[in-house]
Amino acid sequence: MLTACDHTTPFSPGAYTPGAPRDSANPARLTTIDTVNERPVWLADGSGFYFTQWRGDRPDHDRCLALMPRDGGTITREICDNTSGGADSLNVFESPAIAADGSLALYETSTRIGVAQLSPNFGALALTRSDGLSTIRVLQVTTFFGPTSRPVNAISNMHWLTPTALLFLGEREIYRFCLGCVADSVRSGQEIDRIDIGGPTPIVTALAGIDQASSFTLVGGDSLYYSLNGDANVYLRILPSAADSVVHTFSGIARDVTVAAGRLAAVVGGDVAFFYDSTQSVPVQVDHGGDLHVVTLATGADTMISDTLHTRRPAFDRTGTRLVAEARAGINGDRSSLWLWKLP
Amino acid sequence: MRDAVATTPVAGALITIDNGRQGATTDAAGAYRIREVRSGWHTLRAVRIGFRPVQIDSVLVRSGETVTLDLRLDAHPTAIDSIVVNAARDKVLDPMVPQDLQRITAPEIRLLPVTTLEEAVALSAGAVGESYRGGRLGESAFILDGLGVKNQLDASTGSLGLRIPPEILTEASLVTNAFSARYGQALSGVVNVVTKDPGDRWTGRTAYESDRLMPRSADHGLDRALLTIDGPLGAHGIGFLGVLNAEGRIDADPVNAPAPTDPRDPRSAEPWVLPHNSGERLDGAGKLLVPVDQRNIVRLFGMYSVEQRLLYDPAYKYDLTFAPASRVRADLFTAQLQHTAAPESQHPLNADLRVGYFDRAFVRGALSQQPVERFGGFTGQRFHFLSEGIAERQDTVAARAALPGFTVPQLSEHTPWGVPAFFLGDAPRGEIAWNHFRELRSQLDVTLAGGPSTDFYLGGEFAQQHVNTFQRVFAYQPVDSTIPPPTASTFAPQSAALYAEMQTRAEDIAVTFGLRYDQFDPHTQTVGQQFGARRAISPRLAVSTVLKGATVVASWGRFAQAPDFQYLVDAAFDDTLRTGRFRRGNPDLGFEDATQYEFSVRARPSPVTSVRVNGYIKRLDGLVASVPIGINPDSAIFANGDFGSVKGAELIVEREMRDWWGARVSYAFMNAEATSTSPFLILQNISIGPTGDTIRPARVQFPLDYDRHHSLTVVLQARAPDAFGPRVAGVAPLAAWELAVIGHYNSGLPYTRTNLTGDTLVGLPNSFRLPPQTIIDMRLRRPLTLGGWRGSVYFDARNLLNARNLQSVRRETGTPGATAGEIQALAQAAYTAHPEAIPYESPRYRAWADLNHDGVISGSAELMPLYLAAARDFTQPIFAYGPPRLIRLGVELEF
Repeated sequence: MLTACDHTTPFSPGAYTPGAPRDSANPARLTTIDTVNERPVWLADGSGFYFTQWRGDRPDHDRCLALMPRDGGTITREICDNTSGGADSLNVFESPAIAADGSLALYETSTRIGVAQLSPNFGALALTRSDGLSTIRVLQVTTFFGPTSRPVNAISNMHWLTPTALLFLGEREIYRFCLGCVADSVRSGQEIDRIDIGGPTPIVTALAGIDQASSFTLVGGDSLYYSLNGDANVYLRILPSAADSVVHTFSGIARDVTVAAGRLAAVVGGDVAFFYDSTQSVPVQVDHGGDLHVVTLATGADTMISDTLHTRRPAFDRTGTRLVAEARAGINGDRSSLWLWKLP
Repeated sequence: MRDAVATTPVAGALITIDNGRQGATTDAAGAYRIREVRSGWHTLRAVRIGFRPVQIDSVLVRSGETVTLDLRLDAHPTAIDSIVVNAARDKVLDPMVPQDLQRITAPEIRLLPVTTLEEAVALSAGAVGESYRGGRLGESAFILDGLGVKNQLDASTGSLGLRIPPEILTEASLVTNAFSARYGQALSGVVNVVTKDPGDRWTGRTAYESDRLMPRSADHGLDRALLTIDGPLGAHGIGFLGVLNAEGRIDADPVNAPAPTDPRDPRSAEPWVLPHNSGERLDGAGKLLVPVDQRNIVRLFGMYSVEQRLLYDPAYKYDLTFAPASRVRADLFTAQLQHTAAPESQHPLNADLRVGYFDRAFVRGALSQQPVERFGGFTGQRFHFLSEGIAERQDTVAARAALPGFTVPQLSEHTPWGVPAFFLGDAPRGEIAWNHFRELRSQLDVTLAGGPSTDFYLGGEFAQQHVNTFQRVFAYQPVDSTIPPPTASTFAPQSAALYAEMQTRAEDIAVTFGLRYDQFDPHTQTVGQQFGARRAISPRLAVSTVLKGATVVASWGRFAQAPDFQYLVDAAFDDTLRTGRFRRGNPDLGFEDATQYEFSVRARPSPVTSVRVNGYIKRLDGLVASVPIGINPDSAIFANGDFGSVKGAELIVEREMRDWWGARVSYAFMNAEATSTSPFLILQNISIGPTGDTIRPARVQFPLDYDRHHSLTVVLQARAPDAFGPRVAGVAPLAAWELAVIGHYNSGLPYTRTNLTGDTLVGLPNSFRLPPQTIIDMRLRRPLTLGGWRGSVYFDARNLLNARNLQSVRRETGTPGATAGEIQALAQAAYTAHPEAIPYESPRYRAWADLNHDGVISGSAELMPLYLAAARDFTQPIFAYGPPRLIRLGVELEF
């Protein structure tokens, strides 16, 4: 109803997406096409989670961070590399970590379009703002030689330790060549590093005593749960004391640890192999997914909630009642969709 | 002047106007002449020892006219009064007026359905918007109170920036043969504007008009408020006049495009009001009149105008925050010292020394923050643009990199159609254009009486200008082989002119001869080689006489104007989807020239009607066009390479406002051609080969962009008498109504057809014509008196019949919208580029398009309807149509 003091309002775009989740089952499939839908990371308030998504509608086919509501449905926000330097390359944003002040740390790789190559031309741990990529500060370029004197080719599993310090998983990237298969690169966990960004020059140190880490998660600021390549145990390190203990022992190689509200989830067994690559002289864990287990930490009760989906990288929300994980697909396990488990 | 009784001439009488500021004494024949009187109302007083003085309070003088007052003085004060015979010399038949002058006065502007000075002037015969007699935009001069004001930087593509509120005008006129040698910088016409002087008592007027009360689509969000005041300051004759005009529009560029047929298109609900299309402007002016002494007056005038626009870009229809915006600001400060000869002077010499400073700044680009509209279209905020600072610093080194804040626009995912096609989002287009033009102009005009029937006009002017420009396209990408470099320039041109003109009359033959010398020197130190000053001499001659009651004028004149300074510097612009285009600036450009031959006849069939017929031929030469460099179609240089001719005739029939009505009918025919229709069009020999042979004619001419063959304008005015109609409860509701109706019929303007890919012409340039246009405007006003306050209310309707006038068409089809085949091809190409499936969670997913409800829109059967709908939406001919019916209601109050 217009009054004499109002003017007609021009048209504006409407809401054209269904918004609501499509799948009400449990588990529910959140993404409907097997492309690249991976590495979910929950927002601190549990209202949704970011994940890395392939964008075929962009001319550069970037992989962007997409924000999906807690129960699924239409993506509400996307963070892509729209900078001038990003237009001629395939840019991948992954493993975001959002601090309480809105600082967004992520790992970005850039691969020039039109040139066949196995690994990115550029990779970096970068710092920006979650409310807009107005400025991006490169904290650490990969490859770099970490404190353990080993090359770190890639980064994942980022967590804010303090407002000026991040923990991340330093990864080694190797190349697999074989007859009759598609040449590919494989990222394998190697060490847990800490980067302090309070000073003018970021300083990288490694957590001592943790070698061949395959995944980790940080709970409460001082409890670090981690897994090791080729190892069935999940460990807990209390950071102030650097004391390590075994939290749970699975029946197969455990990795992709996530912990919340007294629950631990990990991917166990499945299509995973740990071996020493003699051509590149490094131990490697090749992982195409496995079974998804949830353990109640207080009791040690272990429940396998999925043995058919070849899951990877599960992520608990803060309540421990929602678990989002990748289901791997494709010949090389390079395609995936996201699934949501609602736990009581 | 004669003795009222003896009827003999009275010699030596002193005639003064406005308390003696100007005047003359009568000669032995009792004749007198006062020269260079400003337009407007004046008081005249005549005294002679032995005779009773006479004073006339309201003598209206209009520009270009001679007013004749025959006075009869009474030598016996007690017997009879002096007699005044007010016999204004006929403005139509006066042979001393050689110009083709079409005038509109302030009262007429107030009555007619026009709001701006430009609209008022456009009612003149031969005017197509701001193009006069077929000329390109910018081929005219704007004279404000005798001082030329011109945006010499980009007059052909940009506005002056100043908007003079009509409420402070005495009158405005259009001189289409620009005859007087006093005026330069014009090939097609001179717009002469005279502002009011402050009155001797405080008066004011305030007005507000709006369309808020109109229902839905008729409400375009117009609000306009106006305040004018003028009056004396102190007792020394100092006066002040001030005006403030504020205008806001939510839809500042309304169109009458048809509503889309797809109900999912959000424009289908409100097809007339476009978003991100608002505008606001503020114009403020003040004038101070300071009498120095009896013979000298100083007038100080200052004006500030600013217009900010949000620009609707169809590609950003669904991501409006990234659509472009613009701001134009202009300041003008002038000072005039006017010296008038003593009334007793035998050879009176009047002189005007004027100094003006004009400052105009323009910026267009992406906003760094979207403004909030606080009241209608008013934001009250200064727009801030991305990288405006770099543009103002003209930092071309920093601008070679991607500019801060700019990112790569992506295909929008906020459309109803979802598919990645046509519409943009995420980031603006990446353009920033900025320029700044300043001019300090000084001008001296002297009028010297050589006798009772001969006048000499002498003068000159000097202008020091300063030009700064900056332009960057695709600012989200660093400069490389495909991205044009930023362009910037800084230079300080100088121009000067001298003129002399003589006007003499013997019996009924009047001769006017003038000579004008123009010079300009670009001083383009920063943009290339020095080339020195260019010069032009422009003689002008007119002979007029009265034959069998009709005045016949034959005139010939040469005119020259410096080219837009924008053509002296490089220009990079984005006019394709593939890459930026580039024109190399040419600091060696010279004057653009015209030679006009004109013959006109003016007659008065009855005391209240007049007829004017003009026929003219105008030869154009040295117009700026683009000349190719090598074979690269994107590379060209500006040059004085274009020539052409305009031939036309005009018929103006006018019935003056007498009794209760008046009318004016003007018809213009013209045929305007040149070898290139725009400075940005590349001159090239056109191949015509109906038999397969290639013919390369040396002098092919094409219709100019404003070559309107036929235009007919009818202006009707009527005013009901004060006692008209029945009285109801002591009130005559039908009395005193004022009605003005303007009807336009215009034949179509030319346009160029191309093939489907747009890279090959179909036929010759501008060889096709748009359909004709018909527009009827109306204003109905009712004066009111409430409690001693006078005022009025009015109803103003533009395009009363809501005619859907076509203003442009697609060059490849000649139709306003794309054909079904084009839409299909666009959709198919877009689908081929992006055949990927759209999953349910994607912001691009549209449930209604998921025909098999599998949560994925995939395959041609599901995706193609979306691409087709998007193509139909994108190709809607929004701006192909002129404005719809626009209605506003206004109220004004005088105090």
